[in-house]
Amino acid sequence: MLWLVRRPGAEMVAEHTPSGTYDFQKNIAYSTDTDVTWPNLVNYDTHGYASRSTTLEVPTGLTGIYLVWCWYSIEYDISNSPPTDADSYARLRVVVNDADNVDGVGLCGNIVSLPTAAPNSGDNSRLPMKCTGIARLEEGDKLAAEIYLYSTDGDGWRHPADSIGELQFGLRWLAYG
Amino acid sequence: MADSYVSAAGVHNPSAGVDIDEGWAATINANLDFLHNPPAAKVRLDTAQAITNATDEYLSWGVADFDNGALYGGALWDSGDATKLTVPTATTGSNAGRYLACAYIYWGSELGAASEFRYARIIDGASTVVARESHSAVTYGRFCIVSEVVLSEGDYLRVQVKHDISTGDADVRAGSYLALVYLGVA
Repeated sequence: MLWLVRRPGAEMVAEHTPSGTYDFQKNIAYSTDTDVTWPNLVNYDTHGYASRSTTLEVPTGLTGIYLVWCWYSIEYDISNSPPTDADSYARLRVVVNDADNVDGVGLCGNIVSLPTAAPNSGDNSRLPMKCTGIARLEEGDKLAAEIYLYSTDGDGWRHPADSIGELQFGLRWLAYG
Repeated sequence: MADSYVSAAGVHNPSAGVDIDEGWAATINANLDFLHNPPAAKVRLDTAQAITNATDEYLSWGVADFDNGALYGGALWDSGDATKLTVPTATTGSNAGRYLACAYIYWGSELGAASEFRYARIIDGASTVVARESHSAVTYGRFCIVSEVVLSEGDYLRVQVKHDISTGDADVRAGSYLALVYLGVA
């Protein structure tokens, strides 16, 4: 009964701290999948999922069907220039075991167009991406959240300065399956 | 074959103040087993599905990643009726209840003008929209649609998609999926 009352799960959030190791406000490389790091705060973790700063790993004995979610926002850097090509985009994707398991789709993901004009509010502008999925995960499976920016020119987007609730990466056991 | 949910109060109500019936404990145990591994299934496209311009189409799933419905009266997914996830009719108790539905739809690389749209929606039965997401065209657009829905035995969910890209068909790519997991009694 305790198993069902306290369903296994974890959520990592990224919070800015002056001494943190995270590259907050660092520009994001284009055309490269970059694992998001979540080093500063584990919101909750029932069974030691958050063993690494970029990864949620399913502990031994906790195979099952999971709800997985990730929220991430990138931030506009006013000192740079936005892309000018209309088909530029930003992608958030959750992958299992660093593999594009089915045709590059991943477990869940979200894509948004990058604006070709600089946002009016300068470096406080955020571009949010959210995704939620369901998967049967085996013990030892490792989940990572990737950011990918595509553009033929420009830059102007970076990891955000702080979380303000927008940066989350979590999973929750739903059933054995 | 496992038992689906059975109301323990129908076997014995402890508030009645009489000795607990042996069948009551067995029912509680069966219900806990049911909650530990309730009806659940996930189906996905194993090849891309081409969607005709300006036409509502249901996605036809190619493979089940998991489906434990055989424990509870029958599989949720039937490859011969491949667009649906159906709540099976229990042999003992009931599979009716609250379910978590999740659809992940991944569009192909076709890029339309900013004024063009795509949407995906989870449909309950013939036409009831459970949840929907839409946006203007963007390369490799993705939808994650999650909703809780109350379903009776025999009810089924499908995913319907549509786009109006002027350049022709658009693909929903392999790996897109629909999942359904029982959460509890409604």
